[in-house]
Amino acid sequence: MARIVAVLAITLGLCLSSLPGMAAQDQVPLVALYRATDRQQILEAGARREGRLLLYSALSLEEANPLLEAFTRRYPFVRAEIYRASTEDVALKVITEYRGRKYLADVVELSSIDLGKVQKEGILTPFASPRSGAYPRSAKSPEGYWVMTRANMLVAGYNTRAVAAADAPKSYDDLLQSRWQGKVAVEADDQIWLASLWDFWGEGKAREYFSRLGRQGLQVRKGHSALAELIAAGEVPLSPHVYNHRAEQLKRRGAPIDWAVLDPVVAVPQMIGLPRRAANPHAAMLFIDYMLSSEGQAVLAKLGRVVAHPFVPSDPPYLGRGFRYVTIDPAKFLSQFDFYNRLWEELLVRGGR
Amino acid sequence: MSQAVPSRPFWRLSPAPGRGYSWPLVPSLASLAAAYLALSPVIFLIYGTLVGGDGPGQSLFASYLRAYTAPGAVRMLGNSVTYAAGAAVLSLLLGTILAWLHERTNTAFRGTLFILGIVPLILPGVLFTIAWIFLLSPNIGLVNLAARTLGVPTAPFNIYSLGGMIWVDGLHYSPFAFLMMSAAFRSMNPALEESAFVSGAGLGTTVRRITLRLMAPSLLSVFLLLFIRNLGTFEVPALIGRPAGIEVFTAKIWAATRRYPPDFGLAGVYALTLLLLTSVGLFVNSRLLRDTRRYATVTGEGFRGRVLDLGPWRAVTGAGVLAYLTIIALMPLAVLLWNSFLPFFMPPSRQALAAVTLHNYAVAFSYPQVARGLRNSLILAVGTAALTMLISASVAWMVVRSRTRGRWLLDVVATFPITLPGIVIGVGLIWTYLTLPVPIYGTLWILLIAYLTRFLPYGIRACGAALTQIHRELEDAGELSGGTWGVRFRRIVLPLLRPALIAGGTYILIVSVREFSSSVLLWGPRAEVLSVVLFDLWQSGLFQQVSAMGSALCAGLIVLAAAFWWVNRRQELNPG
Amino acid sequence: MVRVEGLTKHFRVGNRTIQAVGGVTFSIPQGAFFTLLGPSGCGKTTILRCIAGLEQPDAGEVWLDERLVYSHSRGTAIPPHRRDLGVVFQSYAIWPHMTVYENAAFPLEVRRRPGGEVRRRVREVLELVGLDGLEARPAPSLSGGQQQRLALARALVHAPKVLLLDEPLSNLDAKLREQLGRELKSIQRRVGVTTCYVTHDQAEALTLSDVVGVMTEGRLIQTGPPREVYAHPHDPFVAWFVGAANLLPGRLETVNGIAMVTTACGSLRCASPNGLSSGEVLLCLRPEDIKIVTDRPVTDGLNVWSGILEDVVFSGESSEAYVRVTGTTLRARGAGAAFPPAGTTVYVVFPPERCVVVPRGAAG
Repeated sequence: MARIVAVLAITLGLCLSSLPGMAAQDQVPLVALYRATDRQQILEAGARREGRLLLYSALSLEEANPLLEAFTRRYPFVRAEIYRASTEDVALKVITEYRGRKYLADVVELSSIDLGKVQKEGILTPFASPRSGAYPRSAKSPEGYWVMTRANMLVAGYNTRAVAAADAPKSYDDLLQSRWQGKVAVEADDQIWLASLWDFWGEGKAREYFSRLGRQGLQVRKGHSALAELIAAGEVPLSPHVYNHRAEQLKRRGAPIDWAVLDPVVAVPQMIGLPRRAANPHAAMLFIDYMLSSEGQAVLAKLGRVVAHPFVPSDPPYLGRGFRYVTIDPAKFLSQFDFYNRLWEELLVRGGR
Repeated sequence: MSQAVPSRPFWRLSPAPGRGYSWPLVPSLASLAAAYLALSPVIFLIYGTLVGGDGPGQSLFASYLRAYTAPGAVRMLGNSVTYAAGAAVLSLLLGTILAWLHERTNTAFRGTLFILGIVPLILPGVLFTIAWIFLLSPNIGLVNLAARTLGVPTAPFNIYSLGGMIWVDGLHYSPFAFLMMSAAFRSMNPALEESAFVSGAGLGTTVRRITLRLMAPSLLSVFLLLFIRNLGTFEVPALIGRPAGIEVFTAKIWAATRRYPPDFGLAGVYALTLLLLTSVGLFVNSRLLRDTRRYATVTGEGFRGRVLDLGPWRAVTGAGVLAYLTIIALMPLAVLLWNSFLPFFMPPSRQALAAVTLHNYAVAFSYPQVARGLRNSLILAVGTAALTMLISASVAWMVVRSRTRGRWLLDVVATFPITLPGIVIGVGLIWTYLTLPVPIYGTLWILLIAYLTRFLPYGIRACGAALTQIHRELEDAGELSGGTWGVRFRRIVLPLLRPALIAGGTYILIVSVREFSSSVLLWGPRAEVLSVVLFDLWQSGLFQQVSAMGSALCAGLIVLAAAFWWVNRRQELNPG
Repeated sequence: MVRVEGLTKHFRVGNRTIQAVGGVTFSIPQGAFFTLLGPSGCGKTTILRCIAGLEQPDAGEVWLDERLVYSHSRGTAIPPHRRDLGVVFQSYAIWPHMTVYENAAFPLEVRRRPGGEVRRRVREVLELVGLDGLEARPAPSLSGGQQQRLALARALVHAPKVLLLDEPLSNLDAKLREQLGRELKSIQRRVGVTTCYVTHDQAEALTLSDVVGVMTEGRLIQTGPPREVYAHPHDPFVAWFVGAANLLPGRLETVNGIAMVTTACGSLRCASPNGLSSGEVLLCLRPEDIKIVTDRPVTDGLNVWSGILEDVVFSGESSEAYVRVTGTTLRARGAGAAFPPAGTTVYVVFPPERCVVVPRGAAG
């Protein structure tokens, strides 16, 4: 009998001890919107107490680890870690966790669409960072839910051994030429690309374009970065769904890949937001400040990313400048996701079959 | 256990002779734990399909409707079955031929076959699949490139196809078929074949009319097991099926959970369907094995069977064995190693050799996730193995030895998770621990629970089989000498069970390290495991780093396995 | 008939080489029932398997019916399925997935005999072994004894030249063993097939065989008809293994044509010196040949020893008495309960013609 009681008591104790403390979460909006002059000291003191930070992001490990290291060099008392997966998966994780009342994420940094999903669930809380002042209005949420940190530019990447620079496509219409039959690869879930162009061109032109593109015998591969690697390896000659920063990275390593701008370039912004029940709000705000500061943005730029800060140039600068780009409003995309998804499946994946 | 002993309901205490009541606490708790682990994911899965998911239409069975009226549902079913059956046939074919060569002939490279042939079992499925993608990619696959240099006009192999999926999984599980069919051959009385020889039948006739007929139940049983396992694998469908546009159950479940809004209802329905298929398969299998009791030819003695002398054919079969080992172990390892030294994927050439670098290794091992993944996988593996075998021993005791009524039910419940594919367990556990107020979601604990759930049935089976070999009288003698249950279990049963515990524990250790399909849904920040880290690196397009990490991992695992095997040999040759 | 010459076979166990059979030579006349008798591990089963072709000897030759089926020196090795044998295995090796009929018909089917002949022969042979009427039964449903008969039927259905049996009765209980043994003998005589039988049970060997070959440690020690081997063992091992025996070391001397053996218990006159005239010998006394009396018999003093009756063990059809004579315990057997009670001083009488000597330190 005594043994049973002991076992039950231990189990109960274990369960209780892992319940998250309540006090911290109530503070999150307060911390997030704190604007007084001693903001920095308050945040640092709070972060010292908290001691850790959990970032949910789609940055690859290659980029996230140096970024976190840089942040930790600045604030050595914060142990920063990342939960990394593809942007859809991370969004899903946060949503699932919040639905299950598990509050693990401190900062969320995702593509506009996926952050939009997170926001729609009511997970985000507005924040005020002095660093966001530098950003144009189009790069910020009017209510203060998110700020843009970087952007993925979708360009036409091609293997330089299979395609001479002169033969590379110069416009979207070039992709419809018969010589690209069976040679173009698309990313498996790039509905946002279709949606952005659809939005820009209007239904008539868009429908016709995508129907014809779908009949080009498209190959499908999953993952934008993987796609770039495959092009560099020679597996597929060409794709309009390559992130230009990724192609540039590979090019720098000596891989036979290059990229060409197709007008208009579809830009997929990546934004940062604060979950409303973050466990370490002080550390979270410090990180958000850092990500938005020119220092943090410079770290990202050095890693080859197209950054959003207007005064921090990308490296090389032509990654983010010199072409026209379009973005679709996340809310609009999300609300019409089924429509765009059906188009995607019907016109491109199944090729009108 | 048909003894004329009055049975009593399980909640009544069992009296020890002359000592009042002693409660077998440990096995009862263990049995409760096993039952809980087995049932909770399924219960919550069903609950989830009825209640959950934000899909349009909130009626109770909306998920079911959605699942089965979706376009392509039939094709998905067809694909799943074709893929699972095809891979099973390939594994069985390879495994049986090799088992026959190993057990019954004096083929060259017999010993090497056994050692190297097991290698794919210890490699994570993610890694094996990735290696084959590097080998058989339509344009850059090394095999295709080699074929092209030999003059074949177009790439003969395309891994992004149903055939490619069957090839990879078929190869991957052939060692499993090899082990099982070896055991079957070993348990067959060779006098049955010898009496055919002396009755005038040549080798061909004997194999046809005697050997194969006697092996038929084993063959069918192994096929079913492989089929069920293939239905539930996720590595190949994720890495090859998706780009190929070939959807199977596991991929559909995965996709449903990644939709926005996440459709757990749909995932649950597909999971239940998969569960149904596997249950039917296992039921058929158990019926088969029961009927073949009349074919049982073994009384536990090992047979030193007559070994067929192949004569000049030794060289031919030896070459075949070498080819098999090359395909299954050397080629994948080689391509991973090759890729790990390059800055980006290049076929072998002078240029490539000049670009060789160690950079990938440096980068990959600088990621804290990699170190953490390694550490977590090891901790989980050791913990799972230890806990599983402890619980298994207790539960098996309860099933085999105790006199409580209804212990057959415990047997069924405890071994039922064999039918649950890993991904189904994953979805079920998500539901369970988001609903129950137990805060283990996203931690290593939920992974531990998933692994325990998956592997307990194997432990229980192994311990159960070993226990039935240990005569009840050994324990009775202990009881009559005055020992309580605890003492008897510790000092009589456990030591006698030691071989089964060690064998079972080692097996579970190995398969825990490579577990993927549950881990991929359940991992969390700071709770990542090896297979997921590999998968994530691949998905991020960091092919070179995956290769570097993979090569190092393979080397480590092979060394570990070799160490195990060597220690085992030493034990066998000088026991005690 | 069967002829085996110089058969030798080694086995590798781990990193050692064991000689299982060493230079064995014997022959079995046509139609005879020959038994290889010996303890476990003596090599008798190995010899049988070599004759069958299931093992390859390392030296020697095997002839079946004037046909050379194996010769190491000449490089001949005819595979088992062409040696035209019938074999009954210790485990019967009945195929569980076939019926009784199919089991028995198999040897004829693989020889592609016409259907009518197969049916006829199978019916005949099943009747011969007493399984007629059970053709359609699945083989595993037969009892042990029935399976053994089926194995015999299968071995005989194609009228082989030679029949080999590897301890076929050892898995049966005592009564069944006896009965089947007798049936086996009668069937063999009826069919007239040359038979080589292997067993460790000396009673079986003595009752069934025409000729017995006693083996130990890979060597054939003595061959001969059962009576001969029993009554006149050439070797201590044969004396000890075949039947029960009291073995006493002693010295043999022949004086004036009369053979005398001096042992620690006393001297004996013996009448069958086994071709020996003097030397170190073992005196072999069968328990049933020893007579126990309470009054001193009137003789010339020889072949009578006195001792104390230590124990009497009753075992149904006979009793055994243990008599202590000068430090050695002798075993005697008598019918019924024929012995005086324990503790009595008795006299032990040995008829000289039943005293056998065997050279000590011989092949055993």
